[in-house]
Amino acid sequence: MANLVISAICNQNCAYCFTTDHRQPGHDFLPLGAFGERLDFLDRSGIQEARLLGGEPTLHPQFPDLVERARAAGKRVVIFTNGLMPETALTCLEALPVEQCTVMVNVNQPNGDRAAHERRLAVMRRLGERALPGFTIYRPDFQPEFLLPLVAETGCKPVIRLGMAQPCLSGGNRHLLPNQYRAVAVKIVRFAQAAAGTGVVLDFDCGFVRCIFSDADLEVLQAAGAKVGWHCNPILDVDLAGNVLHCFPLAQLGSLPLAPESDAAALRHTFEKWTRPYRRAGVFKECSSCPFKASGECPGGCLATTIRRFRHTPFRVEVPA
Amino acid sequence: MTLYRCAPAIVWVKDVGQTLLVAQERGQWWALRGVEATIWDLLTLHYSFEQIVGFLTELLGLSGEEVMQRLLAVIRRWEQAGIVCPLEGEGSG
Repeated sequence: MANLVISAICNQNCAYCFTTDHRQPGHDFLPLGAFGERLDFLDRSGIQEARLLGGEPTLHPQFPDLVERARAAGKRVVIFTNGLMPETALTCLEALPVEQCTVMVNVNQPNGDRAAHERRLAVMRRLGERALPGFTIYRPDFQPEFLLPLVAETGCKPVIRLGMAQPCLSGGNRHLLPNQYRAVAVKIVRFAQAAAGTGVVLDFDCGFVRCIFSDADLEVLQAAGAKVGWHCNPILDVDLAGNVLHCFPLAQLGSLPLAPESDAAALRHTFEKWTRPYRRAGVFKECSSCPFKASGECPGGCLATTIRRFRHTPFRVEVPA
Repeated sequence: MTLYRCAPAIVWVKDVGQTLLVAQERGQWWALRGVEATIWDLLTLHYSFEQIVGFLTELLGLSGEEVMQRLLAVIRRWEQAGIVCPLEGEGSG
């Protein structure tokens, strides 16, 4: 898996946006030529999906051309969008075969901007099963119930991708704190049951931690068909300047250039090497002695959250000779 | 006297039962437990060498001399590992 950034411009301003640490002044949109290089990278890496993100990727002025090129290269197209897309982008996406296109629509809790909400619903209706709603939890008092009628009303895929907002290393975005995870887990379990009652299943994004769910919780989630998972790996986000990141939250950790011979496996291997020492720890102080972590079942949560626990202390001590 | 400082690349976190030290650029990590973890704690609280000796003497029930030798050995080991480094030209002795 690798995500290709094609736009730095966004028409939303989500408090939890994880690109906060990696804004690139002077780079607005990916040129077509560079997109060709990105597709070559996917080919070299044996990756069959072109996953396009931003900013808001559909704002790219040549978005339909990019999609066409990706399709011509035999790629299945995955778009990460806020749903507020221009008509040209929507027309292009709704023309794609359902099995060759997934549009992950990030839906925020309605905040009074009725016009934006209505536009998003209209887009999802037209995309039908190509659309898959995603919801990012960035505060413990989240209320996801509005998503269920939204799924029914729009005819989108009956799956809700749930993400826990993770911090950028700078901490400059809104995110959940580990001591809020358990309260969030309780609400997720309740929501999974409600969702199952309407034929909707939950799908977990990266960064969840096994121990925030009790065994009884897990049984309920499984009965509700939820696709639970605890993972944190180098996603590989390729930015507009041709640098590869472990993932946006870890942008400050460093990047690798997308060289003509680069492939995803080698890049991932380098990032794993860079981050290996931090993997001894996890988001909780109990992680390093946790059996779920020791067995490899759980990586200990999001690495950005883990790294933010570490600090440097510039102590000095005078020692007798 | 030699003045030591925490190596600039070292970051650390206190977990249940251990303190983890990481030097990311070198790809190294260390898990400190027991007395070593306590020494690290006290250093990060900016205790002086003498204060650490005093604290450990009470904690371990050993003589001051024994504790001092043990503490010196730990610091030498950490110096070899690159966890602490001498501040050249800034010692007082």
